Amino acid sequence: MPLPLLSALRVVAATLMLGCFALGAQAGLTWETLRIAQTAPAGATEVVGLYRFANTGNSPVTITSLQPTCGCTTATLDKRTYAPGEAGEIKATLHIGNRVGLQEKVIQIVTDAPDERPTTLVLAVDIPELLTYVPRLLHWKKVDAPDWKSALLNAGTALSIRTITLAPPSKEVLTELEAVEEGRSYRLKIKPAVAGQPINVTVAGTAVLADGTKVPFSLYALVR
Amino acid sequence: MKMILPRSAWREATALLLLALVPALATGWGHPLRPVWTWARPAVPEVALAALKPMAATVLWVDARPAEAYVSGHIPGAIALNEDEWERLLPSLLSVWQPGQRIVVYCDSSDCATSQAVALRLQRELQIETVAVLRGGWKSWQEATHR
Repeated sequence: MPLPLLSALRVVAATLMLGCFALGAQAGLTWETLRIAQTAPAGATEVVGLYRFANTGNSPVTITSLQPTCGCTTATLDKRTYAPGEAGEIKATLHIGNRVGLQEKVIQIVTDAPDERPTTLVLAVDIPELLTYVPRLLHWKKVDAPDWKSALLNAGTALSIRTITLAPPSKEVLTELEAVEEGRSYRLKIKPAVAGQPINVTVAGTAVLADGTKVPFSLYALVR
Repeated sequence: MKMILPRSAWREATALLLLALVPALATGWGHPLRPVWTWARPAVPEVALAALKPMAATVLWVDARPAEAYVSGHIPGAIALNEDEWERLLPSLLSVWQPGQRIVVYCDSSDCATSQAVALRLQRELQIETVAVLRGGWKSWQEATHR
């Protein structure tokens, strides 16, 4: 086997190895991180992530587009054009609303740097559910017997449930609350008070957690 | 003349490629600037507008867009339900939904994930199984109705 061919294979393999390390390099803007993960504090209405970057290229870079893919997320920055060596940051804010669980929100960044592809920033926020209650909807057909149906109310985090109080129930339903595991899990039983009558009732209550946090909840009873 | 590589050359090439694979995998896993990949398929099935035509009269449309977008225009009969105001809007849905009725959720277009989030939440919280997401969202409705 001619020696130059073996040497050529070594050069190709070495180039592939170097190419792996070169993947992270890019002209224009260099980002400190593309993904920020946070847990929302209890009661928070918004969560902010700061994406820092610097212009590591040789010419000014203008951010031409800053587009979150969800209306629940806003993204702002102080200015659009950055000189070589200049640093900046994008402030991404997730407005929590009534969201729960893991939220992954994307912001697309486009610049005028030559040959630079759009950059995708991700803001991953875990919004703890302090109380879970499933199912929220209990329904009966009009022809069904008005039997008890139930939902489970569970502590969603390490915080235990101190008390659960139900709002005065509608006359259209009967309710019972029983502990499955004191402090952790409760069964809320509901049944229509009268058979065969259509109803659309909200059964509301408040759970107070061990740290005093009040968590309102509401379930729905339908007869249709 | 047929050129045959000796076994030692193949072994050496394989070893070099495997060596290159180690930093490549490490970069792909741990580099802070790695691309954000997603291979996830939609969890709630998508349905095209054309496929809904035979049952259009019985579908309950749910608009998952922000309130301003809903007010600007929505599929006729659609109920607004989004995660910004989930607790306030949910009773409106339940006041019109019939058990067993198919719910189709939409947001702006195919690039929007909000309809999946709302549909998943309907499945999980209310255990409504007959939920789908409109492929192409509001944009597909506009394109179909403006032809």
